[in-house]
Amino acid sequence: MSGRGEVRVDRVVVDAGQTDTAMARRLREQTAEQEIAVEPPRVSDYRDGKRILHLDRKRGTVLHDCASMDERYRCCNVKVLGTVSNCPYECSYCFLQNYLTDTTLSVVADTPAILAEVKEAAERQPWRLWRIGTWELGDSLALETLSGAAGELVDVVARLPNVVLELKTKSADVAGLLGRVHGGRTVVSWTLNPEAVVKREELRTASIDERIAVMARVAADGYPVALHFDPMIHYPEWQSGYAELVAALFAAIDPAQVAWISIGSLRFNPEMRKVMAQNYPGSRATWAEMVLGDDNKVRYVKPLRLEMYRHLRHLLQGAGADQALIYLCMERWDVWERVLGRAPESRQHLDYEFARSLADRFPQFSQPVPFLPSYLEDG
Amino acid sequence: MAVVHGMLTLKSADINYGHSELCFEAYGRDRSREALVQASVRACGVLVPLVVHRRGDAWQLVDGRVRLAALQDDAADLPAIALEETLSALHLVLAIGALRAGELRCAVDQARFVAFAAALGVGDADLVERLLPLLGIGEHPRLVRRCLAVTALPEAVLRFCAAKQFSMKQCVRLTQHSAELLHLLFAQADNLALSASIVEELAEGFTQLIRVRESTAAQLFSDPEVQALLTAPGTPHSRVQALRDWLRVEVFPQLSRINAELQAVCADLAVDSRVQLQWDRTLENREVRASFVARTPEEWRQVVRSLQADGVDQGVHRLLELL
Repeated sequence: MSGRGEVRVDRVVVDAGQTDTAMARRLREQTAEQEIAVEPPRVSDYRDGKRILHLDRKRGTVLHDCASMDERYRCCNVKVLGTVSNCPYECSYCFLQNYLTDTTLSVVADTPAILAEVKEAAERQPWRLWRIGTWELGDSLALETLSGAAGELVDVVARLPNVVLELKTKSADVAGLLGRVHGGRTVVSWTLNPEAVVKREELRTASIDERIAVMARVAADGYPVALHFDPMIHYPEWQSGYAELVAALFAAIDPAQVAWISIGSLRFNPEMRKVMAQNYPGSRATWAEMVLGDDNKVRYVKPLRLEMYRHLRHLLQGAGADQALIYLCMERWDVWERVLGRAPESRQHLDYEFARSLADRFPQFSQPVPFLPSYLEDG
Repeated sequence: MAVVHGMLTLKSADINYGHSELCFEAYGRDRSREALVQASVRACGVLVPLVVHRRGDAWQLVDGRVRLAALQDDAADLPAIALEETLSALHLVLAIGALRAGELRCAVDQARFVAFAAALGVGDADLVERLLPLLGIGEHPRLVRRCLAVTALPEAVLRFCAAKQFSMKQCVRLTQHSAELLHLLFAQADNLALSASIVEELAEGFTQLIRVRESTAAQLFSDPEVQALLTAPGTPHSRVQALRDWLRVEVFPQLSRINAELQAVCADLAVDSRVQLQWDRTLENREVRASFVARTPEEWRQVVRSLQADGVDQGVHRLLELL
């Protein structure tokens, strides 16, 4: 078993058409044995798949909208690249344990084809800022030492005028990002919870101290960073836990380098609760009162969510971090209003707010100038 | 490899059957067939050979417990088949499994048989690759662990689950609750209509409540309120429903408190009694719905006037504040 934040795979399988890619070559330098396969390995067990790394070819389009599109909940309209599937970490609340049918750790190795798709989309709408993440079905950086996938994207996105790449992670594996010519167009972000939560619920991920330490290194290398307090987890000492977390964060990084901050609470499909209890009997994430929402997701009851969000918002204000765009992930308009004093009209509106905030605060994003009607018209 | 060593004639005193580690008793065995076998043994003696296996100095009974128990003449010669002494643990278990095949129908017995095999020394790999597929359980080390967890449930729970034919999944879910809670809950089987889904729902509610109250199952079940619900007059179904309702309130203290406040605000509103004010009890949707039925223009006017009465605005404002 590898330690916290470290990743070990037992088997590497490379798609027959990807053996000459940069990723496959890089991997060959680290692991002598590679199986060449025409078809994906296909593993159904949630944990078994985490030990098999599959360098896959690009299958169909990989750029699409983030899945949360229920209009009753305000979402941010971020685009996601489906280039990573499954994750070597073991978060008790991870939806993948109830979602993936093939649990192999899969990374699309054909980076030029991915980038061609991104470029084509970005050129189709040159007026907008494309926020693109690689974390929809996995962690953006957990496999970076092995795959180098994120580094390849960073290099190219640095030259795209209307794209911002977000690499979201719970790892401390940033060595491959440092020293690159990134142009400040990649935002490196971390999912953050108090260490007590990390230890109990985010198994095998990097500790909070490690995450904060590498965040400071990434920021020193000129990358904007982003903070995701999502999912916030309720536990008996949550107030002091989040207070210590925010204090530790802003002792290490300058709020001016924070591009955006998301706040959200634990949420999952109803059937996940039993899966979580079965896979992670030590988890306490679901102990508080939870109810089913209109989007068929179970969340903490609204009074509790409001209390948690307000507390965190207050902490962020106290740390001088509210100059960054703070947003709620998958929350209702009234929760927005009661926590942040505003509610975007739609996901397109929130998308605009991102572009506006970045243009105002980071010179590299000053062009294209965000124009609200264009965003609102883009259904 | 020959499985059968040979035919023997034994006396009952030669056979260790009371504590034979090789004798697997399924909970789901056919009791009516057993009664027939017992009657036949009493009338005609043992006709079908017993199956035994030599371990150390003793013959251990593998198959024939009912026949031996029904035997009235201890001096009678008993036909027996002796299994090969050098059989591996796996082969011994496969032989026993074949003898018990018709009885391993429910998930509890399948899990118990896996535990039985493990106790006899069948290795993990053989359990996963050979035994589990034969039992139709699947093929993964985790499934062995789940079987062992299921067999660790209190015996009364296992017997209940076997009788009610709970699935493996349903049994595994029960392992997530404390043995103390399950013991107390199943002790109420006569008071409550317990099906797999009801057991799961109640156990989950109680487990959640134990966490919320930082209490124990014993404390919870000795709570006079719970006792009153468990022994209330009515049917087992009505008691389950009452318990469900009570658990909902207890497990959701914030929701219950706020809904009670909303209820109180509504009660204070001086609106026509025909008006029904409703809201989402989960508090997720911040909206109040008002509905009424008017059968005449006069009724309509009365209701509308009542909605415009003093204090209604403030009351609705308060409702929305709470939501």
